[in-house]
Amino acid sequence: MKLSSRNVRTVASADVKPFAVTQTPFPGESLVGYISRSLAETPISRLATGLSLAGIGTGHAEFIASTLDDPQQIADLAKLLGVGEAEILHRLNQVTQGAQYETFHHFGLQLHGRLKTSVVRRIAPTIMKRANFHRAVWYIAPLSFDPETRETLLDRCPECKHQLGWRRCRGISMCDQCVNSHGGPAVDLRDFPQPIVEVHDAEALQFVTDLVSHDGLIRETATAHASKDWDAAGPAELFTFTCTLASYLEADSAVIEGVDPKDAVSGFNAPRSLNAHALATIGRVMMGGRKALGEFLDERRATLEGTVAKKSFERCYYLGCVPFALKNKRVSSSLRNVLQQALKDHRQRKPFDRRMGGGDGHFVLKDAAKMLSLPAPLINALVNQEVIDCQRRKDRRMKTYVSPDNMLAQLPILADLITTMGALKALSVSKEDLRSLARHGLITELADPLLDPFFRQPIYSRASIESLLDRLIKLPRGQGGTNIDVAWGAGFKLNCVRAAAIAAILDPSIGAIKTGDGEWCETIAIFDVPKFQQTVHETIKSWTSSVPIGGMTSVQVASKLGIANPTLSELHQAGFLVRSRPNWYSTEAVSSFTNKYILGTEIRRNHRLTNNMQMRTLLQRLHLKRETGPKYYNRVLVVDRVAYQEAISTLDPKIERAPGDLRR
Amino acid sequence: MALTPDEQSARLAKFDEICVDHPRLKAIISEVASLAADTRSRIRRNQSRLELAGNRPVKLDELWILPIVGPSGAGKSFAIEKIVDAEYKRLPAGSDSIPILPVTLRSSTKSTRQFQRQILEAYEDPSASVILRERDYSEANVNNAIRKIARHRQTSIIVLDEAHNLLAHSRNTSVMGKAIRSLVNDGLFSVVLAGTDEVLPLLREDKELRSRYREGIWLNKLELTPDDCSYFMSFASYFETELISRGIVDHPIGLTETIDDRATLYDMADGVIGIVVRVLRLALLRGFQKEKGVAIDWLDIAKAYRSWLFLNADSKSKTFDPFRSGPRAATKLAMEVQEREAEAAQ
Repeated sequence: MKLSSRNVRTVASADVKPFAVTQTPFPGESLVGYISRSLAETPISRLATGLSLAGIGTGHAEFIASTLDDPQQIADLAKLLGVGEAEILHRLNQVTQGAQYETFHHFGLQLHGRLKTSVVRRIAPTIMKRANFHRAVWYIAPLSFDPETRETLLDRCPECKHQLGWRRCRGISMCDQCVNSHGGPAVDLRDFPQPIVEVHDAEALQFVTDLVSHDGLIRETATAHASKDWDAAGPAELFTFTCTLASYLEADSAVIEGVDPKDAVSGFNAPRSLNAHALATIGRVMMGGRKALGEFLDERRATLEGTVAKKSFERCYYLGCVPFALKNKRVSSSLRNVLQQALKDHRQRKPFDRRMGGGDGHFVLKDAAKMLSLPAPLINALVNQEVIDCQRRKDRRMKTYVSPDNMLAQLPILADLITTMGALKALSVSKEDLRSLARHGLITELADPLLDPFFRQPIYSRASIESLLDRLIKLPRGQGGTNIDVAWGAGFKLNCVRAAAIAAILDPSIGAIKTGDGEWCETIAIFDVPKFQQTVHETIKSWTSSVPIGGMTSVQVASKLGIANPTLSELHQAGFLVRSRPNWYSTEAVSSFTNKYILGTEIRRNHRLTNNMQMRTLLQRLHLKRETGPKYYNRVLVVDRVAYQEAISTLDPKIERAPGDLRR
Repeated sequence: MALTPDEQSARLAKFDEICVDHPRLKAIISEVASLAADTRSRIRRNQSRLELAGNRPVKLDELWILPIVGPSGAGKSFAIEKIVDAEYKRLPAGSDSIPILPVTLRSSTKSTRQFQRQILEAYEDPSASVILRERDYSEANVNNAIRKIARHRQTSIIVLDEAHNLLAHSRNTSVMGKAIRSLVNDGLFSVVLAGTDEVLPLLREDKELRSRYREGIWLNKLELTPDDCSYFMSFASYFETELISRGIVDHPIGLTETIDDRATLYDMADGVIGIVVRVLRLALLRGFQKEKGVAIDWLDIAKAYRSWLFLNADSKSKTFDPFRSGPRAATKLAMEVQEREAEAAQ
């Protein structure tokens, strides 16, 4: 936000004169407080009027510390107040817009924008009796007290109950609303001492407040008191982290009362004062490091476990809102990593109970999937399609529980099932390698009519893959030779090569040895490189020759069908038109497909349809339905050709447009 | 040969520097010095009481008002100038104190706010430029601010020159009376009111204000009594001597040579010595044009007087031209008596 929008310079820069009575700024005094204090000694009663004397516009005068950025205006303001420019620059709260959030400048620190109060004037009456000036640290929203005296900050006039503001300059310690009969300030807020904040750990609280002190030396000392476990985080990062955790501590009380943790946390995003106890608690954690953080998490769990009625995340059920800090971008990533590690350690020490109440063998779906080494989305899909049974708990959001034993009883194939992705990971080969291995009996591809619709890619037998791996692992041990990766060269990662290599390695005549415990492709070596290469070549050749002669490439097939290549891939994935090998379709498969099905593009071309609505209308009139892929749902419109030809024969050729193929 | 502009300027500067240390000036200086001392003592007392009271209300000791009333040219402004200059000379180098604050009031002063603005302007405070458009204006608040400035600059006396301008607008008497009363009652500073007799309604109107007056200095015109005549002629004679001795004119004028000259001079000034100085300054400008050195003759004085009269003919008494009809008989007689008495005294 700039002030310059409505601003007309009321005073020429050269004409700016200092006030007859100028004030010396105190160390740690806020800029707006200093200006206001200076103006209170002049006849000027409004902050905006005073600023206009330095040519500074009057849009939002109370935001002057954040918005002042014109060097000329800074120089003029310094001249007006009778101080050096450095005193002004030092006190600016210039806002920097970062990639994810904005920060503001506070005596050399870059604090998160949400840690700053807006237009409210907060003061500590007692300390102002000693030195009547506004401390910049009172701007820091989470601190509801004066760091020096721990007196609660006053932000409303006790007499008129109005919020204290900055617009009128009737004295920094005076109510700007209450006036006496002469128009002067009537209520001196210093006459209303506020309660002193009592905390269980004053030292920790002092540590937290010292992190944002105006004095760089105090900040350095405080930072030195913080544990080294925080990855050398600066005072700003430590303070932000402390405030975040403290705010989540406060949110926990709302969570206990039934508020959803996510909602409870979102309420703490605006600048607000935090409980001194919470700040002190987290301050002690910051001083103690990882160990203290672990103890803190244990304590949170002891307090919260079982009290949280609802939850959006499992961790919240046990640890309250604190884990939300992992998702909070205002916390530096290094500190989040430390917290994440601490949460992991905590879960290792005290695992979460993920069983369904009663211990009847039902587990959280995710855990059950892990137990069976299957992907959770598959189990979820099976549950949703009611292929396997589940139990649901109404009192929790995480409500799906499944029993691994029941699942295996219902679908025994699950015990030996591994997905393509799982097999890829296990064997470190490509999809085409897997198909080749399956085609030549080195691994087994599974087929189950019940499960096939759930997979877009082939599924394999876990036992066959484990057996193949076992054979590779149990090769004779030895040293020396040439690694097969090196032996084959740059083409080793090409499709089919690894599969052929596996076949060759398993041939005892090659004499492959295992040189270590790593992955097979990195730890298997051979001594006779030319022989190995020849064997692999021959294997590939023999495998290729087994593919039926007379095929077409993808481009040729797409061209023949009048579709794009990606559409052809979809037809393959849906199971309409199966590839012999990558980029290769047999002529029989293509002709079989064209005889059996007709594509939407062809229908459109035949009837000269221009949009989908016309297509839909035509299909409705002909009572035709789109065909579903044998393997997977297809987005490409595929219609039974025989049914289509029968249907169009009923159309009146005079009225309806005749199909092109019939005309021919 | 006529003087160059630079030479003329140098001689005019010397003219302006002439200070006739006459008894009336001494009286004003002495009275203001006494007022300043008294005020400073009261201010000190007020300040210590304010500090003792903290934020509690305090009834401060009121300060004083010193009226200096006299016709234009009676030496009021000159006296103020000399007093202020003398005060500044006394201050150490680099000091920003203003012990006596001179404020020449403008005739446009209609309201308290404008009056206060002129005080702030005298202090060169930038707030003067915005006070007229302040939304939350309060007279007391502005006075408080002025008091802070006054204490910071150690001001104890404010001299309001041309004070009659406060009454340039008919309804201003009570308003301005209150404004001045506030200055002394709120303990800001003592006020020296310098103006013509037009300021008298202001002094008489406000009853409360009357109790704050010190004995005023009334700079009436000099009468045709032997003492006054002697005072007037001594001043004129001294002034002429200074003109020659400082090299402002190259030849004597003869202002008080004959009885006729004296009577003419008195009638011209109507007994006000400041008018003699003003007319002589105008005559000097004519004297610069002379070929044979700078000299002022009676013809120059007559022309200068008529010129001055033309611009200042606001009073009937000043329309009399002694150069046209000769001096008044009464004046001439008084001069003769005064000369005889002087001879007798010798």
